[in-house]
Formats: sequence, C-alpha cells, structure tokens
Amino acid sequence: MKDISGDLTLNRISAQVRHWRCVVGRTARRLAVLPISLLALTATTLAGAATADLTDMSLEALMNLEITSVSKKPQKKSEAAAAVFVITGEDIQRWGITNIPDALRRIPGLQVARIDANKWAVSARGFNGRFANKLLVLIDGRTVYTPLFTGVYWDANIAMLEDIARIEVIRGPGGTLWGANAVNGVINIITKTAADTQGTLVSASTGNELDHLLNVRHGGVDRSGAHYRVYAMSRADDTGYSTTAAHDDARITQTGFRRDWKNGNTDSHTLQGDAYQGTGGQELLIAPAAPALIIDDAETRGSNLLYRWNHKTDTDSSITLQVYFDHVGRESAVLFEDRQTLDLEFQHQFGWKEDHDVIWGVNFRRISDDTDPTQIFSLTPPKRRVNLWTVFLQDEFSLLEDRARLTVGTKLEHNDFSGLEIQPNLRMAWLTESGNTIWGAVSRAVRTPSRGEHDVSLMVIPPPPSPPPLTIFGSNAFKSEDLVAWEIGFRRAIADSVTIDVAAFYNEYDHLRTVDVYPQAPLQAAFGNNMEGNTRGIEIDAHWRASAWMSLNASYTRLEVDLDLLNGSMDAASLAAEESSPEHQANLWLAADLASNIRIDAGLRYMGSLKNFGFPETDNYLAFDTRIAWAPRRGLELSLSGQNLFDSHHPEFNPDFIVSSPTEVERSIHATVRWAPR
Amino acid sequence: MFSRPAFLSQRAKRLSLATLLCAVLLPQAASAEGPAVTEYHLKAAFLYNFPRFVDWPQPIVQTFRICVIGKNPFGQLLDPLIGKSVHDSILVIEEHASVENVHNCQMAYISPSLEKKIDPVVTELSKYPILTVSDIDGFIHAGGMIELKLSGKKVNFAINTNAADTAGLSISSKLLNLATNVTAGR
Repeated sequence: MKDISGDLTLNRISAQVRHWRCVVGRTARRLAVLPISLLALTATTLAGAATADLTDMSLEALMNLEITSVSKKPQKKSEAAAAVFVITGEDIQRWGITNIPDALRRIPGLQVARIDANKWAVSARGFNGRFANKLLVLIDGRTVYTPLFTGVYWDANIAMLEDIARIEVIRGPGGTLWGANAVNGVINIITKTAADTQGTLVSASTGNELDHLLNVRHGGVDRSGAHYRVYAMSRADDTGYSTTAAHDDARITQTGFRRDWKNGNTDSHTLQGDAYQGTGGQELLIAPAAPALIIDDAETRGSNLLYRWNHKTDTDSSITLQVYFDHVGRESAVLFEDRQTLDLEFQHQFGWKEDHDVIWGVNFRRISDDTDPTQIFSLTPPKRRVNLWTVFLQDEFSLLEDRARLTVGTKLEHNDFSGLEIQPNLRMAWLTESGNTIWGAVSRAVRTPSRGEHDVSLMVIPPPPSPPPLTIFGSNAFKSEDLVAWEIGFRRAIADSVTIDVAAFYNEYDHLRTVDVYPQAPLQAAFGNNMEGNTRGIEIDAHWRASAWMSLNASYTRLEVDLDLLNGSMDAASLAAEESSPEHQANLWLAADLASNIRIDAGLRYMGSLKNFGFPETDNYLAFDTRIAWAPRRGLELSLSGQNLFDSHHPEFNPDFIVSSPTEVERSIHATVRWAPR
Repeated sequence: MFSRPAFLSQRAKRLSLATLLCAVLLPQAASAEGPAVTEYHLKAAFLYNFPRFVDWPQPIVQTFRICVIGKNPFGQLLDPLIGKSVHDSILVIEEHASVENVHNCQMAYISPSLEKKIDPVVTELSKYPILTVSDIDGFIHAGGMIELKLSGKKVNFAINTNAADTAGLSISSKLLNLATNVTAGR
C-alpha cells in the first residue's frame, strides 16, 4: 500500500533489520515493521495482497494452483518517510491495559492524560486537552473525531482489545491521504479480520479500579463461506481519587459484529457494525445564575455500520469503496446532542510506468446534528447539516537508482465553514548503503472550524479570581488553524540487536484559536484566530533485544511550544492552555518470556509537569506498570496487572472549556482470566 | 456571513458524478485479469497452511513464530500473514540471519541462501520442537521435515516423518496424504 509512508515494511534496510521484527514482535512494534494500512482500508502490501488471498485456500487447492507470473523482480519496498509507531494486538495484551488511551501512553510523541475515570486528553506533539483538535482518530476506517466541538470521546469509542490487530500512530501531518484534521497526527485503530477471530473467546477482568470488564466473542464460518464474528462487552469503572467525593464512575456496554467475504480472488467485502450505550458520572461547575457544582450522569449511546468493498484489478492496482453510517448521542447537563454521519469514500491505486505508485480518491461526508440547549451550552441553529468534500492525489516513485523514494501529493478539502483548503505534502526517504534510512518531509495541514466554533454560545467560568461567567460565541469569521510542518528522521540498526528511530520536527502554526472578549461587553467573547507560533521537538525510540527471551524498549520525547497572541488579543487563558505541554516524557519497558508459558512485562513512564492557567501546576510523575501472565494450558491464560504502582494517586490533567472536576489516577491492580477453547 | 461560492457547488456535483461513474465502470472494465501469482506467493500460502496439520509437544502461548533463516526470498509476501491466528496464537514472522536464538520459533523456513550450510542448520534446529520447511533441493534427506518442490508451474511438498517424530512433532495423516513423497530417512 502506498500511503504517506509507502508500504512501511522496512525490510529494505536489510535482513538484519527484518531480524528486529521478531524482536520487535515481542513488545514494542515500532517504526514500521508492519505494513501500515492506507486509510485503514486494506492492510496489506500490494505484493502481499495476493498472498492474503491465497491463504484462504486449502492445501489441495494450493497444490493445483499454477504460478502465473515468473517475475522474480524483488518487491518494491519503500521506507516510511514519516514518524510512525505501531502497537500490535500482542503488545496490548502483554501490557495488561484495559483501554485504548492507556495503550497510547507508551508511544513517543503522544501526550496522554486521564482527566477523570471517563474523560481523557490525548494529543500528538502538544495542544492537548479533552477537546484536543489536531489529532485524527479512526477505527477501521471510520473517523471518531467529533465535529461538534472537536476531540474524541474516548469513553465511548472503545473496542474489545483482544480483537484489535494493531494501532498505527503517525505523528505529524497525516499526509495526503488522511482525512480532515490530521494536523499533528493520526491514530488508526485496526481490528482483526473475522477470519482471525474464529472460535470462542471469553475474558473477564476485575480489580480495585476496574469494577469489571467482560468480553465475549464468537467467530465462525457461515453457510456461504463468509467468516463472521459477533461480540459483546461490558465494562464498569470505579471513581478516581478526589479529596472530596468523586462521582466519575462509568459503565458502558457494547456489542458488534463483522463479516468478511470474497467473490473470487479479486473482490473482498467487509460489513461491520457496533452499538453501545453507557453513562459517565461527572461533577460540573456551571453557572446559570451563580457558580454551582452539580452532579451529573452523562449518557452516551451510538451505533455504526460500515461496508467496504475492495476490488483488485491486477497485482498492483486496486479499487476500494467504503460507506459508513455513524450515529452518536450524548446527553448531559452541558449538552444534548444527536449526530448522524454518512461517509462515502472511493479510492483507486495503481502502478504507473516502471516505478510509480499512484493513489487518488474522493471522500464525501454529510454530518447532520440535532442539539437541545442547556443552561450553559447552545448552538444556533440547533439543527444543522454540513457537507465535507475531499479529493486527494499522491504519487510515490523511486529516485537515484532506487536508493530514494519521493512522495508528492495533495489533498483538496471543502467544508461548509471555511471553504476550500489545500493541503500538499512532499516526503522523501533515502536509504544509505549501510542500511539506514534518512527521511524528511514538508507538509501543510489545516484544522477546520468545528460546528461549535461557528455556532456555539457557551458559558464558561474563568479560573480564579475572576468569578463572573463569560459567554463565548461562535463566529462566522473563524478560520481554519493552519500548520506548515518540517520533519526529519532516521532509523538505524546497530549491530544485530539494537534499533534506533529518531524523528525531529519544527511546526509553524497560524490562526490558532483564541477567545477574544468584546471591548464593549467584557463578559462576552467570540472565537478568533489571534494566536500563532511554533512547536519543536524530538522523539527517540530505541529497542534492544537483549536475548531471545527478553527485550527492552526506551523512548524519550522532548517538546517545546512557543506561541504568541496577535492583534491585541488578551486571551492569556488559551495561550497558557496551548503552551502547556510536558517538556519531557520518557518510557522504559521490558518484556520477558520467563518460560514458554510465563510472561512478564514491566514499564516505567515519566511525564513532565503541566502549567495550568489560574491553578497550581500539575506535577510531573513517574509511574510503574507491570503484568505477569501464566498459561496453565492451551487456550487459558491467567494474568495479574498493576498500573501506577509507585504512588497511591496522582493528578494528570485539568479540564478545559467545560469545567468538570478532575479526579486523580489511583494505583490499580486487576486480574484477568482469558479463555479461548478451540 | 459565510456563503458558498457557486462554482464550488458545481464542482461538487461534477465530482459526485465522477465518483459514481468510477465506482460503476471501473471494476467491470478492469476485472478481466486476475492477480498474478508468483512462486513465492504460493509458497507463502503453503507456509501458512502447514502448521494447521501439525501438533506441537507443548502448548503454544500467544505467539506462533515462523522464523525465516537466511536471506528472505519472500520479500514482503509474508507480511499479510502477520497477526493471523495459528493454533490460537498470533502469527509472527521473524528473520534470522543465522541459526542462532531459534529456540522460540515454532516453525523455521530455511532459505536457499543456506543451501551449503544445510547440515549444521538442520542439526541445530533439530534440538527444538521446530517444524522445518525449505525449498532447498534434498532438504528432507538432510534431516529437514517438509520440502517444497516446484513441479512445472505448481508447488508440492515432501515430508520426512522421522525428522518430525524425533522433534516430538506429530504430522496429521491428512498432510501426509497430500505429500507427493513421504520418507522416514535419516
């Protein structure tokens, strides 16, 4: 697949590097040893696509199959000209985590913080917040970025972790192919195919913070030969720590299915869907008349249905058509929201001339929402339908006798709020004689206005000591935030057992969002674009396979943010919030197979401090996580996991805009039984 | 107030029509020829199939490792196998330049690049319960378990049951029946 990174398989670096795959396969699967999927549509390399088809055939059929191409030409392998990190399903299982944000904590360049037991702030390369708006998140090709007020509802976008094939994370502008708002990064969550989730699996976990997590899945083959799976899960979380009473306990149930089938060797189809319903407690500081704390149970529900058809026209060309429908409903003291999204995508990929891989596509998205005002939040008009059109084109080709790959592409996007946006990118990877990769990229990306920034009326309570509530209005004049990103990186194998991946960036932002008070009415404000500045940083990831049964991974993230207000804006709060990022982050973890059926994992995480406007700093912290697993017999695994074992509790993040009382993350231990008979 | 320029909506209409045309016309136009299958496409599929017919002496925990020993002739063709399920475990492809640190492998594919070193390689592998597969000519007679053979444009295989027994692996009768040749030598 040729996305920004080409197919990300790094075996070009030589067999040695491929040798890491095993290494890496055991714990942190990094850079790009796995094929990175293209828009999450098809996860295989072009060359691999045919293999994937053949694997569904029986041995008898294989023995009767004739080789149709005698081409011995080595498969084209390109290097990832982007900062990429891949977590595999195995990693997720080994780390003993129970939700997706916790899996993302170990990725260099990402900022992950828990606000309370049902709210998270996740971002790449800074600008974090519950409504972090510069990170695109997709689950199986379906965007879960909230267009109403930006960000991702991590409490509602859950998945059965056993069925996740991998999570691919790209830091930096997602390149030509990814959808709107992939400004600082893309997180692409890909579930396993139905064929890979055959049989029955039951897992149950419980602990001091995780009240329960129950997963049940069954996969089989129906009469027509199609693979399917159905699953159901239920989860309940205890409250976090607070000096006062905490009310952030949460529960959610979700069920879903997936069916994969083929027509001959050239056409594959996927139909999948999920439905969920949950509640998450919160304590809100809102001020209809005078500031008051209220306790609220936010209700969330949603469903989605996705169909994808992939047609291979020949070995290096394919067409994909994807349609999905997504429904999201949320009801809380802040907001009543009902949103329906219809998304259609067409994509065509083909080889051209000797050495070009071209991909182009068209995407149309229609979002219809229906909101009810609350005392503090309303949208005008309350119902709105917006359309988003995207067209993209990208070409990737070799230079310098295959020693370099150049990727050139652009995306044209039209949205109802800011009109036409052009987002080009240029990427190059150079492969040295010694097997190292050096890459660089320049790209432009925009973060388009959300419905809220255009239409909202939101009453917020400014931080002390300024008690009168401020009402923020959306603005027709609000423009897209835009970014020009300069990135370089290299990957290197030292000896046979150590690999290093370094990425550095300089991001220049314009038209960042501010909240600007009207001079005539100091308690009213509107969204403006009066902030600019830059961020720069470096992310280093090193992996050492110490022995056949043990590996060690270390990563370090350095981030600096330097922003300025423009045009007389006085919005010190936005300036402080957007500049507040951990300067240093570090991760160290160890994976060891003590015996063929005993595995142990342990990791340390350091997160730098965060400044809070009008509140004390959120202190830095060092957390220790571990898991030990024992498989007494085939199909059965017992494990004990502990998170944050060093301290009894620590705060991680203060909420922005909608002021809910944060709670602290506590020491947590849970036990899991997983049973997959077959 | 924002208003949408008229030319943009016209463009939008044209685009939607183009999309529709592409979606409707292209697949039919292009579906005449199927995907090409190379020798190693086919061999990759064989590698994926073999473990289903073999039982290992100890349970396999979480990861099923197929280790490619020597220079990998598959390129990226094995990548689609990664993450698939084999014996309730997740399939992982490892590459080993030499025959060191192989004891965690469940299955080993020995590359033709090691043809001249085949004896020491097989000897080392035979210390562990590892299913050995290769397309090196005479592999089963050198103590290997499954030899992939090219016969015209087709691929078939031969089995050495003795080598498998010694390693504690049991190969199902179905696989033995499909093999073009079953020996119990060396």
